[in-house]
Amino acid sequence: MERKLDVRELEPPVPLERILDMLDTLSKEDWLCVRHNREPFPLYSLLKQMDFSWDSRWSNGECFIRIWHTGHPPVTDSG
Amino acid sequence: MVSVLFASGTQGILRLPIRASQVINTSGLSLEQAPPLFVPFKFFFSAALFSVAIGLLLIFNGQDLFVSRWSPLALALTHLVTVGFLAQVMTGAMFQLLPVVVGTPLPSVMLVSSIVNLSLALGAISLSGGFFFLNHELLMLGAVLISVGFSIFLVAASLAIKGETVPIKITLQLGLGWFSVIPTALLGILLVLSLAGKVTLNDMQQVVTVHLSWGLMGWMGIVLFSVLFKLVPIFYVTREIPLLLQQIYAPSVVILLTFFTLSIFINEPVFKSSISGVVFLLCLIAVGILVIMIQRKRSIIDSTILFIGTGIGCLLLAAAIWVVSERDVVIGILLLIGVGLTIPIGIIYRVLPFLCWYHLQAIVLKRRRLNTQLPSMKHFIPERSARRHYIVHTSAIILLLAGDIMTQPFPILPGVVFTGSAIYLSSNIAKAYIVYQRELQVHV
Repeated sequence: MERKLDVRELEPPVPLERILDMLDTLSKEDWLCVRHNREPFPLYSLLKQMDFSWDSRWSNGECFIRIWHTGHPPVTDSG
Repeated sequence: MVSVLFASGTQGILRLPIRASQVINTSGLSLEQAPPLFVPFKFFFSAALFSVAIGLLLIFNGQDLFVSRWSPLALALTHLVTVGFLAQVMTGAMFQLLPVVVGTPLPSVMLVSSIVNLSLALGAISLSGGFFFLNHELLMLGAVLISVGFSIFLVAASLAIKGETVPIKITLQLGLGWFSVIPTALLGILLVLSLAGKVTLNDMQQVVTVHLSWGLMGWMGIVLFSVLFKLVPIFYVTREIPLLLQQIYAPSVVILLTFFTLSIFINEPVFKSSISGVVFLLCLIAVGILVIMIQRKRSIIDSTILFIGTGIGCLLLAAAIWVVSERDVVIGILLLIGVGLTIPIGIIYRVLPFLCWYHLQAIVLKRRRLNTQLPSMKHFIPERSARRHYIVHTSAIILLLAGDIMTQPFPILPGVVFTGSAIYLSSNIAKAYIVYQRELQVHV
């Protein structure tokens, strides 16, 4: 199941803190979708250390980052 | 619906259906490539110590500052600010920023950063000492050491960029800003040789003006504003500076400064007047940054906004005074202390706590201490302390400016207040690092 987090209006490091807090409670079946106003590069090296995987895409000037436990990718319509 | 590629972390590339998106590549852009916290810290702390030296010089000789921009004190202070303070802050910031932008660390980062740090520090002391004591040997030694420091940094930065896919916009801006160091240094060496009687210059005053224009408007102007272009939207959640302005700003400043340099050889008004274009561009960018900061959604004004806003205000005031009069010393105080110290202090107070927090977070996660409660960013440099420093710092600027307008009843007062401000800065930077080390002991 997708869990959502909108951090567009937050000043650093609050977006990073909120994301890490949510990842603390993210089950292996779930993934987190973060809505951001920029690419959160500092997050990615932390995710690697925590054994999470991610992808990101830009849409209408916003960045959407999906984060999941490595080995448990999000289940999507396209498989 | 169209199928687009997602840029993926560790799982390879996924194909997913989404609307109107853009492919991005996150590989090679990571803070894990950044150097240890000690690297930027040693540059920032060295810069703060130089600001203490500036204050002490003002206490003991401050009354000479207002005699002329050519006085030994004014020349010594100018180079303590530019090479002692600004060069340390800007190279220190680059050691942290470049690996994040380019994705590869600078080669032998600990050794290279130590050599650059030491060369610039000894160079600033020698050059300023040379001006203050009118000693040609010290001037030459200073010029050589500073050139060595900058050259090693530029070569290391070029090696880091070489062969990498880099973001064009920010790399071009920073590249042109650092390119401006080359004419600044070459003209500086020429002036030192002229002072030593080794070469003869027809119009030394114009060479000095071109030298300081490359330094203050090319190097300081481009690098400082390029950093603000990146930093302000991220750290204050503002909209971006218009893209066109970002793209044309740095190349236009360099082209106009090149025209201005030709005025040394060709006595044409068109070349001399090109400096007006540079001043106009700097003001345009300054106003742009001020506007996006005012328009931001959060209404809280913290000390870092006050420092950056005051720095921009000083730049606009200096430009206004430059248009209507020739008060060189006032313009110098506004540009060097008002802009050159104030904006970097604001940047340090915003970025250093974040770096402390981030490095701590990364180390804790590396040790798998997932539920550790880390201190907030404000813990590293408390807002109350930064705000007090802001009041002391702006008081020092006002007292220095007042010295040019009226006779000071207490001539050492501006120097005393400035030294107080510099000690505040040094202590805040040192405390941030001490808190970081203490938290490291507690959590790891």
